[in-house]
Amino acid sequence: MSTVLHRRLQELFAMRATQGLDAAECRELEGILKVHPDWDDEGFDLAAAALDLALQSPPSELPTALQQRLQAQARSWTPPPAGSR
Amino acid sequence: MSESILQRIAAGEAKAVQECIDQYSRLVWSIARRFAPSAAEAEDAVQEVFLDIWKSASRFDPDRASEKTFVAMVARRRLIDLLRRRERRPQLTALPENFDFPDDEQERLEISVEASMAARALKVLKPEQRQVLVLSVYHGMSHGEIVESTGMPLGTVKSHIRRGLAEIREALGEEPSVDLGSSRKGEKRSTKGTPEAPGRKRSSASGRRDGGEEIP
Repeated sequence: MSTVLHRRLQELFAMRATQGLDAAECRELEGILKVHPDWDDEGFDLAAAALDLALQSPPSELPTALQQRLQAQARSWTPPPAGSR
Repeated sequence: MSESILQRIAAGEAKAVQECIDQYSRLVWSIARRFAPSAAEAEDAVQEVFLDIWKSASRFDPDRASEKTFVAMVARRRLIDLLRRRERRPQLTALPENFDFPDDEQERLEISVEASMAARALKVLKPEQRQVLVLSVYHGMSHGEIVESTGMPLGTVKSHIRRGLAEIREALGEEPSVDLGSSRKGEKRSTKGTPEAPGRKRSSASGRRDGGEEIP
């Protein structure tokens, strides 16, 4: 892979992990990964998530109404049957 | 070893779905409040995030990241998407100018092993690189907003983010998925549970990265 393509791919991964991609960037990334599906990875996304966790202040409590909505959502959601992963 | 909550969801265990909420709702809510433009949108986003988490449970790989980091990643993706759709910036949450991380190693480890590693990697970055990364990752600012806020050229902002994330990724033990002359999929080295990541060797890609690029 060329250095230019390598850098561009890193740039797209970094953007995906931070501000997201616009439609043209999405198409560009999809185009590259269509040719090289093995090049996709979540390394930058995981790095951003880990940094986010490191910078967080202690999480606050959920509003009660949201908690109830989440619980109702959990009850109505059906996990995929085992083995379908 | 017992299976994680996400592995149990992927295996079809309904009880694990409820446990997932018990375990991670406060974390997801915290991220949502920071990213979403309003409390009402944050509430809607939290519900969407949990659907995403449950649907993507089968993609969770405990050898690559802790469950908490994976959940944070899924939440961030959904909220970044929300911000893009709304074309609105999040409300800035105050982070002290001279912010610091918990000195107590145990306290940091309780957040997650990866968070501890990321904190350490962030500390050794150049101040301007650290600033840009915090504005981007923590405050959810777009590259353009960071340009406005700091006065740095766009290319420099992009470069700081890319390099900074690459540094943190390497600190987490993640191999780049792409290497010049290689197409091996990214894998995590065996650093699970070892914050110091002993014996980690630097890849050839990292050497190139440090040596071969210029900030535009």
